[in-house]
Amino acid sequence: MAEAALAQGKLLSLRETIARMEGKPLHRLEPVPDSAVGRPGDVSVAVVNHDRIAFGIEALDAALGGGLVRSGMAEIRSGSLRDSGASTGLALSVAAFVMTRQEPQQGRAVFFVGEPSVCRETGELLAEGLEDHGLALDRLVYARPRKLDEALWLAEAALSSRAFAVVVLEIAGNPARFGLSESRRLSLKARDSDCLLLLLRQGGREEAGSTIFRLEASPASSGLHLLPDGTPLRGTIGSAAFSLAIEKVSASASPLPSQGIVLEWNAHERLFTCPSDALPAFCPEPRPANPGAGLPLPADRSDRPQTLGAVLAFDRAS
Amino acid sequence: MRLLALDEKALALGLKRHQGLAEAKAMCPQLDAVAADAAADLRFLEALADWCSRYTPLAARDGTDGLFLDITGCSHLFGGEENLLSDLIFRLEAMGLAVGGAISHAPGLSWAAARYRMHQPLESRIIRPDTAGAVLSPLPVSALRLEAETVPLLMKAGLRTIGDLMCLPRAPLARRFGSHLIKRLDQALGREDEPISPRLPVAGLSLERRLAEPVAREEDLLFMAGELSRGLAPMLEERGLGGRLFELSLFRVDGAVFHVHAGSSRPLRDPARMEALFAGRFTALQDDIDAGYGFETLRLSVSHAEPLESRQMDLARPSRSTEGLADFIDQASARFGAGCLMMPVTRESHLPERASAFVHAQEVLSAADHAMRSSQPYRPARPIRLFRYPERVEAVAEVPEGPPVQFRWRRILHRVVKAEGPERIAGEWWLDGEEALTRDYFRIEDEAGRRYWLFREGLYDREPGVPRWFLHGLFA
Amino acid sequence: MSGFVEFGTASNFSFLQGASHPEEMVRQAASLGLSGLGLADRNTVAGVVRAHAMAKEEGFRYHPGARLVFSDDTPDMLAYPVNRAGWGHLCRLLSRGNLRAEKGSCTLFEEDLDDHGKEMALIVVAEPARLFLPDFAGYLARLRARTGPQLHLALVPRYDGCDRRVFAASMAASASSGVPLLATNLPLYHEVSRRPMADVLVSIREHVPINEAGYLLCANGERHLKAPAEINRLFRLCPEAVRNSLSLSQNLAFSLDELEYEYPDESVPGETVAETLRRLAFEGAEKRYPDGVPERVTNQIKHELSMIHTLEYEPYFLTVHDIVRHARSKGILCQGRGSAANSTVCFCLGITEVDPLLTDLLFERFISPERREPPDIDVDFEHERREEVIQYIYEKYGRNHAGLAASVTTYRARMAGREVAKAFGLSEDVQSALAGSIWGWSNNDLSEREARAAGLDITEPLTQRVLGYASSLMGFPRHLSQHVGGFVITRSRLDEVVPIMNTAMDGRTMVEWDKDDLDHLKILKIDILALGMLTCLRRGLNLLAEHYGDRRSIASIPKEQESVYDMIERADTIGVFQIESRAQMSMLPRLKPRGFYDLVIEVAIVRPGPIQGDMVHPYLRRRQKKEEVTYPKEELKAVLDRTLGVPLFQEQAMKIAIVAAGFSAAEADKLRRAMATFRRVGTIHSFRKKMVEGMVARGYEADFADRCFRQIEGFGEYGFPESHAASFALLVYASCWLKAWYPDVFCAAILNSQPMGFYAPAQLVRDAREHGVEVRPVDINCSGWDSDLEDACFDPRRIAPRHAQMAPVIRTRKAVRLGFHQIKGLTEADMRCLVAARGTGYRSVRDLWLRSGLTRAAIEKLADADAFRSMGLSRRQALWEVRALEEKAAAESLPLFERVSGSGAKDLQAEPAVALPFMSPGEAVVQDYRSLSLSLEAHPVQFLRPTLQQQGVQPCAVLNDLPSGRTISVAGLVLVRQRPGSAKGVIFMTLEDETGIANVIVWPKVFAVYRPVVLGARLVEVRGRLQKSDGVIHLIAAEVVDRTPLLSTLGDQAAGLDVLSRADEVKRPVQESRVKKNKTGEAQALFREMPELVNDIRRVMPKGRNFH
Repeated sequence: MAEAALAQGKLLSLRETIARMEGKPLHRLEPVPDSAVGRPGDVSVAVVNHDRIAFGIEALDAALGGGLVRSGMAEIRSGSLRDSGASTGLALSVAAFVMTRQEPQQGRAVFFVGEPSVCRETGELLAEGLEDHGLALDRLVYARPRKLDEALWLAEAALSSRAFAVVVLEIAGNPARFGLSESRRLSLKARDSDCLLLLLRQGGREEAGSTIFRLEASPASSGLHLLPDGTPLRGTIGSAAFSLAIEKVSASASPLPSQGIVLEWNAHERLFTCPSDALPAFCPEPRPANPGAGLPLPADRSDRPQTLGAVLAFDRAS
Repeated sequence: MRLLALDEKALALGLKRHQGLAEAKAMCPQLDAVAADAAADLRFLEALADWCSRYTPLAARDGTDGLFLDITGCSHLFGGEENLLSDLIFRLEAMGLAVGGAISHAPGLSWAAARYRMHQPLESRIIRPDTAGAVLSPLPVSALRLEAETVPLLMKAGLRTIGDLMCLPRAPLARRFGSHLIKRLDQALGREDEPISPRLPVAGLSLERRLAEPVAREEDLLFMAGELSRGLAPMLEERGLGGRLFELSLFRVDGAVFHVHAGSSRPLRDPARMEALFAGRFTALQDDIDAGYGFETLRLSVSHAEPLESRQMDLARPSRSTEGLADFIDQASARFGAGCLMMPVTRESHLPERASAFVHAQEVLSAADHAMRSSQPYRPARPIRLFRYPERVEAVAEVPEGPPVQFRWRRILHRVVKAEGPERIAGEWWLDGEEALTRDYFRIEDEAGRRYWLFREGLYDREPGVPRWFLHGLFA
Repeated sequence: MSGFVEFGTASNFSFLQGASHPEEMVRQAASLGLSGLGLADRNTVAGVVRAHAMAKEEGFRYHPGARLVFSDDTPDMLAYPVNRAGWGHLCRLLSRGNLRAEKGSCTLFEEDLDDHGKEMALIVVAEPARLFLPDFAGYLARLRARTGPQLHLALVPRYDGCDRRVFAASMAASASSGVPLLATNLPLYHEVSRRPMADVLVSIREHVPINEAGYLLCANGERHLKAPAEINRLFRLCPEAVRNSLSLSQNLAFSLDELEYEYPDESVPGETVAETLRRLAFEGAEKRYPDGVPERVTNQIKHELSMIHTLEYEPYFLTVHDIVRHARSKGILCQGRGSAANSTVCFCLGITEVDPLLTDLLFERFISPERREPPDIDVDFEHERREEVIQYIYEKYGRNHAGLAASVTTYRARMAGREVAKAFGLSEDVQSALAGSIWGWSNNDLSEREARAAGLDITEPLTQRVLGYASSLMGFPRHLSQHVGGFVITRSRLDEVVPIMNTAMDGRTMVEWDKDDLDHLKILKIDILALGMLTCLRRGLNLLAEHYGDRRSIASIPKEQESVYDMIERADTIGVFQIESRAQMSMLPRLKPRGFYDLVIEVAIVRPGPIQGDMVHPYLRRRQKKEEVTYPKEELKAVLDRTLGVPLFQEQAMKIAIVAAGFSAAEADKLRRAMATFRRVGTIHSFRKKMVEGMVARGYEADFADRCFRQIEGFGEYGFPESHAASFALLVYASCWLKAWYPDVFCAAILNSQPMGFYAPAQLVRDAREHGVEVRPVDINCSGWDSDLEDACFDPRRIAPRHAQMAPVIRTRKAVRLGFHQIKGLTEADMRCLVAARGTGYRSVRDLWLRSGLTRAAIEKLADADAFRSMGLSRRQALWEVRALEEKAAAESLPLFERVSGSGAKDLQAEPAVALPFMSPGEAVVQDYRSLSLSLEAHPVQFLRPTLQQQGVQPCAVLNDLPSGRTISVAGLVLVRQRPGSAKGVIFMTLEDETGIANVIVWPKVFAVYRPVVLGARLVEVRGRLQKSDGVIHLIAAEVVDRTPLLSTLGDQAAGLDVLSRADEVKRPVQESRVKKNKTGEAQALFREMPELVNDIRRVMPKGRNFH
């Protein structure tokens, strides 16, 4: 009986090396979850594979084939620069999420390569904001090279230095210098350096690339703050929320979900959650401060302000 | 605050040592006072001692304001004792120092003569053993290097000069003022010898390699740099040091010399990494170094070293992450210059633009501390992206401090669905003056779910001018 | 728009937190239209009375309270007493906290609330972090169960962006726990402009410069008093919180006025308090007038007794009487002063010494029926035995009924400048420059030149900012310290009237309120003060009795002696109480006092009141018969006849107000009270208009009315009641008599009570020797610790020619032997055992060392002072012997030698004889000055006379007989340098040489040129013009030369000779008082004519004393 077990072990390791060479997700011998069949008494065990991090959101994990890849390249895209708040937020959340999932003694950091034109248009990263968002400041390195090839060199050097768990490469739109070959090369580099490369395309169209998956991030309304006794307070801006449209998943079996998934990011516990349909909100209707007769005349404007519905003619914003 | 030392002009004005600074300034307002830095004076004196090694290897520092040079057997190189003394004094005075010097057979005697016969002609400052007694007797008692409290006691007893002491019997003196007085007296008269403990200079750290035939190609230079690093490593090892700044000097055949500097964020002495550093530098400078006929000598020296205790690497798996990160930072800064990699740091200030900053990675790695923001769960939130210059927007809001109901940014109208605030931050009056305007910050979310950070500069009721609205940052 | 009561106010009595005075808070609250204000400082009620006083004046609803800050994790609470019992509980609570902690801090725990938390409204101030804890509502409910329904939860807008959430959480917690909400803004300052000041205070408290304070500072300036409209807008989400503040204010019934009338019970069993007082008064009267009590005195006593009875002040008189009786029984000299001296009853009870027959007293000045305020009796005691009186009071009334009043130490210019400079991160030497290294610096007239002299550039914004904030920091309280002598005595428990706290000295407790607070609340207060002169007089009288067998008390000193007044006229008053300063000595020859009342005028005339009202000059002219005496109106003749028609005293000013301006007695008294607190509150200007118009209406010229009022303004700072001047004049006369008849006794007495008065011992000894008294040096075989008298024959020829006419008067038969107290560095204990072991005398230094048990260091100091002359040892030989002794005292050395020392055998270790070099006389004198700070041999300048003479330098004595206007040059040791701020930089120097002293005036121009010499030199030669008028001699300096190097010819330590007297201002800069800047022309003229008048004002007057 021992030889059989030995042969079985050898076969398994052979299969493992082949799978790793082809970059396919590794399947242990555990039974495949039969999610379609809801038979009672049947234990559905989530697919456990070591280079995937589950988001904990049923729909998203299933769509991405088990969750986030631990090493390899993925892309997060925002349709227009106005939504860069949401895309940057999502990228940073994913980075923070991965950082908390890596073994502590590895002590690897996050490397963010900023893109100068995006920074001019939508603002620089703010240390206090990053800390509020859940990132550890002493494990974050930031660079803002002037040219794209410098950025690529930095990203590649970061990957080969094995000092980073997540590298976020910010790209403005669809630059020609970043075509399929560069994408391919970065993807391979990321895969064999056990590091997740997040391509953050700000205000760009959908473009093919050798990414494992590609998401389009767009803003979603935030959750509500909770009072000490648990009731949410209406009108307050709680934890950040993003709505994702999954555009491409390279190795997944199941079909892509049609409509977007909404995620809430709990910066304190560094967890993604589904936005719970809130309990009846407890909030005193914020009455206007001066119970006097409506808004006083604005000092520098012409006549009484019309009802808010109509579009007012404003002089040009400076 | 007391005066420690005075120049001639100050003494002429009647100021005294140990006089209060405030009192001295009151007496002459145009007094120019410089903070005394004992450590710096000491370092200067030691540098002077090293400089004196040109006259004799046995140079030692004496207290805080003197030097002992043991010139037995060296005076003939300078044409006799007198020439040596005049040359030494001339050079020191050229440096701007007020100097007194004397030569004799006993250190105590020279000490006394140097200090108390400063303005006498040079010949009288070289004292033969037989004239020692005559030279010493007119000098005051303090010329014997006594303890501070013995001198006033002697004064009270009317014993002012060394001559008075010499003619008194030794037993009552010893009983009243201690044996130290007698010892110093004998040392001055040369009856008891006094050893001098010289200072040894610290040799510099460098390694030189002369080549049989000149080398021009970059790979050869790199190879030679590796060889020199491997030679330097053991020298660093035994001193327990690690190099922070290395200098590779390339001596060309026709005499021109090129210096290539390479710095590292952590002290290191591993030859491979030293070589890697220079590899990065070479690629960056390849067009500046014109090899010409090739380089015949290379010298690698450590210009700045720091203690590096040889840490026992852990057995399981080398935790190479901090090393890896440091390597990556060195590599990147070698290629793109030191400022290219930065790390976020928070500072203690209420104004957002002053509370956060990006600092060069190398500095942050060495300095460990940065301000901890208040850690209550509910502290005021900050956006992830902040505009360097807040952008002007047109907003409609309730007076005096209501949140904006709608605002137009870059000609796009945003209707506000949810708002939080105001968070009122007043100007930092000690930097921007008492009239700096107050800002009321609001976190707002528009109907599309985008979250912005707006602020109104100026208050309706209390501050002059019409308040204006700005967009300062984007939330996640 | 409903009203609002702000309960969370903190004044600057929350030390280094609040940035506004309590008065400012109340005034601003009233002007904003708030419905009321509650003051709650951090663990103290020290500021509540000042706010109470201002609130009463503004007619504004006010609640005293305190903010309880606990040492365990209980949240802070504002505590407001509902009634008198509640106030008692609050005071007990704070007292327990104060006594539990060491001085200055207060530790409270939650369980203290259980026994002292009743009858008061508590408002919990919860930090947001605690608010968001899940079980906070439960905690509130439990707390409410323990402390009762009056518990509230404070709702505070913090403008940190999360106010809406904090409000919602608070409302939820309030709803679930049933604890009502209370709106408050927790203001730290009364207006927004004080925010920078608050930040400066934070940086001073946390010892960190402002630019590094970061999150310690508030983010915004919202912590200020806000108008009701603003408050209602802020709390629009929870309007009932604002309404709760009104309802809470309604049911807080306590007011500080309920603390009146707390006199201790002094009744003797068997008779009522009134009968006891009447009995004691008449017994006293018989003692005072042995040959029958004059009729005038008896009905004055009856009149006073009836008034005292209507106001029920009898216990007050009996308390003071008992304390004075006890002191006298212990032989402690004491004397009442202040307005009490106006009362005949006090005179009969032996409290005061002013005889109603000699000076007419105005009883209304002491007690006026309208204002029911306790009278203020100050009693002076000998300063060495005052502690006995204090401990007696503690024993008689018990620790929890008697305590010392507090005195609020505020930031002075020097400390304020230093702290603010440190807060702005300026370097150390700029801080010391700012802290007033320049003389008399007060920031408002910091001229350009003086600023540059301190190394500051006044145009630079940072310096202006530092000076601005330093000036507003001045006057802020720093901490509470113990008042010198004010005692509070209550009937009920003291710590239920006002919280008590520890003092630095053990055995004493003090209360949190200062003198003015206690006055305002009409709480009984007795001043137990110390007067050095009384100690000196007692010592003099003891010496007189012991050596001359002449037993006397102050009262039994022969009165109105011509010889005494002759001496005073000649200004021969060095060392005499009150009239020894330069200004007084230059006034005496002009005023020529011939009777007791003239002394009263002399004591009162050198004051800002008379000077500012420009009354001094006319009085002098009338006195010297240069101007005939006129009265503006006949009705004033009765008031002003004794002062030749010129008003000099406070009482006269009040009488003028009553008679000339038609003030009622009450208004006149209000005017007097306004004068007393004028400097702090500044409400005197309303009286100016009323008085001047009143007088003009009655036909007085406007100028006279204005001068009268300006004199009253002057009184505000140092007004002098006639009765007070009279009680001081008694002591002046007593010390003059002693100095005239027994200069040796006077010299010994004043030497033993040093440090006191103006002059250094050297000048006092010199003055005694000029009166023929032989002064013998300190000696180990003859001296005791104190200076004493020894038999000697009196040789009139020794009297200096100037004092020749004193020869017949002087009755001295003794010489003065200097005591060991004169030697620097010796302790009384050592010297007592030296005297005890003396026996028949010491024969050698070793013998002294063996028997006296002193250490070598102590014996060395004796040798330094040349005290071994009776043994035939010179100073140098003695020192040589002393060096041979072992370090430790003899007692601890080997027992083997005990037997040998008994038989007085010679020293065992024979030593070869040593001939030490000879010590020159000059060097000896210098050593004398170093160890004794005086020399009996000679004056140091005496040895330099030959060299000085060659260079044409005259001795000081020559000044007396040269005509005015001559140019002459003199030299001498610098004794005193004074520079009064107001005399625009004029400097007064006093030089002394072996023949006498010279008074030099240095004008600013000359001073600017010779500044380093004037400030730094020890020995100075002055060339200038002589100025003489009415016997007063000044030398106007044209050139000042530094001759200190000459001193070193005497001996090399001579240059360090320190002869400066206590009055020198360079060694001890004087805090520049706020002498009024806006003086009219006449006063300026007066200053120019008698410049020393101005500087004397500050020297003579102890700081900050207001006499009612």
